[in-house]
Amino acid sequence: VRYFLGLLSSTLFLGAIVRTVLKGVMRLRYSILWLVLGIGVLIIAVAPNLLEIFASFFDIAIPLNLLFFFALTIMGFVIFMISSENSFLQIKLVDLVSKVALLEQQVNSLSEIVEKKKN
Amino acid sequence: VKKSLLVAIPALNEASNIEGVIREVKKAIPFADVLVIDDGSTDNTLNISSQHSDYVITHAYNLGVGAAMRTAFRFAKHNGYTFVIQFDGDGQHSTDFIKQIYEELQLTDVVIGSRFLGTTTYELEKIRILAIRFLSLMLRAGVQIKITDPTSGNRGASLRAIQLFADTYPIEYLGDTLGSLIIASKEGLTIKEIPVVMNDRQGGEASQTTLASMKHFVRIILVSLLMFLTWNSNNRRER
Repeated sequence: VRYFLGLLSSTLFLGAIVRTVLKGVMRLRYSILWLVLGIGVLIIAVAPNLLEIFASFFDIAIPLNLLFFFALTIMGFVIFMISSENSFLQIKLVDLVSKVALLEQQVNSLSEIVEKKKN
Repeated sequence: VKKSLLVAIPALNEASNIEGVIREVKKAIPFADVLVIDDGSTDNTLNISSQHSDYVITHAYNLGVGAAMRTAFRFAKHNGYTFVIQFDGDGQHSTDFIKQIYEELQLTDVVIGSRFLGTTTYELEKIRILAIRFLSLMLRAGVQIKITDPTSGNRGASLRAIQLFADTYPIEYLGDTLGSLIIASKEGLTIKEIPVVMNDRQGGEASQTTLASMKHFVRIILVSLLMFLTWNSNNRRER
């Protein structure tokens, strides 16, 4: 079989994605992103000719360069998305920890008052 | 008796200093409540603080001085304090100036203890002084206030500032020093500096290597530029 290694790895990749999605541990928006990427990779592995057709359409001499271009663009986008969402989470986390700390202090002082009243 | 002044001490792994600091503060200003914000210490800071301080709040994770002070301002707002004075947990600040800051707070929203005002002789590396000068310049150009020591953590806030900082005290790098001053001045609060003398750091990182200082300096420049650029959107988001 031609391109055996490519087929195998892209199938494993998609399989891992599908498994994770089915387990429900990944949020939907990421699931969709990775499913689309996984299917895309599999399609190219099955039919590498597609790459050549697209490359000639975009006037790119070496088809592999088209692959690199897409891979870099998508990775850049994904990393940017993740770091902006991570920042958002960190801001929320700081606020949450701060509020929990204040609540903890309030609970402690209230329970001290209750203890005193009991005695 | 309801007290109006809260001395807030942000502390990270200060087990060896915190008891002395709390005692000194209580001795210097008996009419104040003392709050220690334990910012996720891994040593005995929490235990020691709970024995000696009036109040202790502990962050589950280390979040930085900015977040610790935001928690302190929230506490102050919630419990109806009129004045908050920030005081370092590492023994770097001198209690001699707390009273003076408190007095200035009667008329001013934010009071900063400056190491470079008046006749103080505070020895710092050249590159640090350069960085501090740069920050002063940024404040002057960006929000038209003249501050000689924007990185000083020896400062006080009165009611208007407490209300503002409880929700918006910046948590980013340089936020607790530079960022909070930008916010305060953009919101029209009055800011005043008074000369203070600080002790040398008791142990810990005494002097940085030149490379580390350079990195620090470049970071300060980039961060402060970004801070001015993003102030408006940050402020809108946090409201």
